[in-house]
Amino acid sequence: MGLIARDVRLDLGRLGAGVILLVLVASGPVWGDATFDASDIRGRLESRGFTPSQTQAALATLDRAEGHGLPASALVNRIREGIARGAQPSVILGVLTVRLADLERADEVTRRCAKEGITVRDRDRSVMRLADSFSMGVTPGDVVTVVPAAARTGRDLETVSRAAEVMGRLGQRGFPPADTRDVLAAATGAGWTREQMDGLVAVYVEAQRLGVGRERMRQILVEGIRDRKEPSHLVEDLKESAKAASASHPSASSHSPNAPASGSSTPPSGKGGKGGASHGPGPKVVPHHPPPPPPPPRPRP
Amino acid sequence: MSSSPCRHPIDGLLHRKADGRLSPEEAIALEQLIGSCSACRERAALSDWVGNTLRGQRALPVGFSDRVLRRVAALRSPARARERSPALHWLPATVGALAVGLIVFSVYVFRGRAPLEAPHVQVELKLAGDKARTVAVAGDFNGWDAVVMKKGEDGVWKTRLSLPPGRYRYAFVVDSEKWVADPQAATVVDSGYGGADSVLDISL
Repeated sequence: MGLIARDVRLDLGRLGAGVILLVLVASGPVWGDATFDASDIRGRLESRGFTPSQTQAALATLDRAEGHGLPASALVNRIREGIARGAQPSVILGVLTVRLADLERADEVTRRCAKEGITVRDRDRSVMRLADSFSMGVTPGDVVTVVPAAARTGRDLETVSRAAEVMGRLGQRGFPPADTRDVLAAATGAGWTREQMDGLVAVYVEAQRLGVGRERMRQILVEGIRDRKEPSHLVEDLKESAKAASASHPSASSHSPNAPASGSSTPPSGKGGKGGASHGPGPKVVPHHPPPPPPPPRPRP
Repeated sequence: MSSSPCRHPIDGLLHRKADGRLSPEEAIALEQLIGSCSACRERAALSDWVGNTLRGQRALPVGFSDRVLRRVAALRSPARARERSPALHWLPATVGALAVGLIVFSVYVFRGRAPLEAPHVQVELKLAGDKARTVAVAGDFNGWDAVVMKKGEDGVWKTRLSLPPGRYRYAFVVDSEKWVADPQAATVVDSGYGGADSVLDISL
């Protein structure tokens, strides 16, 4: 028995040694290799007029992204874009720096989501989506507003990042994230689909066209979403609110429905924001100037 | 059976005596030990008692001990065979290592790629530009190497792409000099290069 047990132990020992050795040898290329072709990038940068130090700085940015587990491809693509657009090396380096900062902030939000129990699927794409939303003016604090609702209802990181992206789109159309994040948190908690969230932009544009005030708009949308109403029904509620407001508040000189709420200083521009993302003409702002109310009856002496 | 406390080599002699293999010289040595050492004497008495007891129960057949020893040797033969073939020692290790190597190789080869079975999605990009001489599209999906689009009879420039799920930035290049964002894109972001990028987010 002793001999047999010793033989088995020896066999297992040899098996383990062989496996460890082979794993170490074979995994060298896997862990040691970058997810980008550094020599190709170096060649492109040098042909574009990058100095050695600028080239080194660009590659260091990629290394840093990769070291933090961020999608370096997102930065490589910015380099390729800059070269294609004929940008100066300093401009390309600036774009890389900003993009890396956005990715790192997105990574922090992602970690926070994971800590809150939110499932992380397709992490790279969600991180890029969050980074894009930051470039559209959304802050990590705005996104964090959505996180509790997502965690409570079992939504994943993709949902959170899509909510952030819609927040960014709304921001480009003149609805700052401070005014929309509660609505998107409600939509996230209500299990809205991607298409429904995308449709929220049109709802906001319609609400603005109807002349519904920002705070009232927020209330109607949050309550409607919590009541499981579809975007089309929300628009109906907004229309009713607009009618009621015009009927009950004919003197709107000091109560403009389009006055920004939450202390926002961003007026509704009616334009599609930068980049021409709007389809056709932007949301039209309807001036609301009803006649002043009759003066109150003067008390008789 | 415990060994003799006096450290005399009496156990071997007693075993050979019990087996009937004691040589005359060994018999003399045994007698001397029994005569001179009380511990050996007790040991020998115990051995005789055990032997007599066993023989009283049932007599062992002739050659019983030899057959038992041969069987024991046969049981240990696999280990001896392996000792005779050192190459076989490393067979389990080799098989295990090859299996792990295959897994690592697969990870290395397919690392960073889209899932093998991930289907591509057909996407058509359009830009109305009746007055444009050329319209091309450049983006993450083609390494920002602009690809010229085709102009339809309706004056709309079109191109069809087959892309795996992912998030791509792109822009149109009109007349090889003017970069334009896609007016139909849901998401448009600042490129940082003095223009805007459209975003294509493809899911299955």
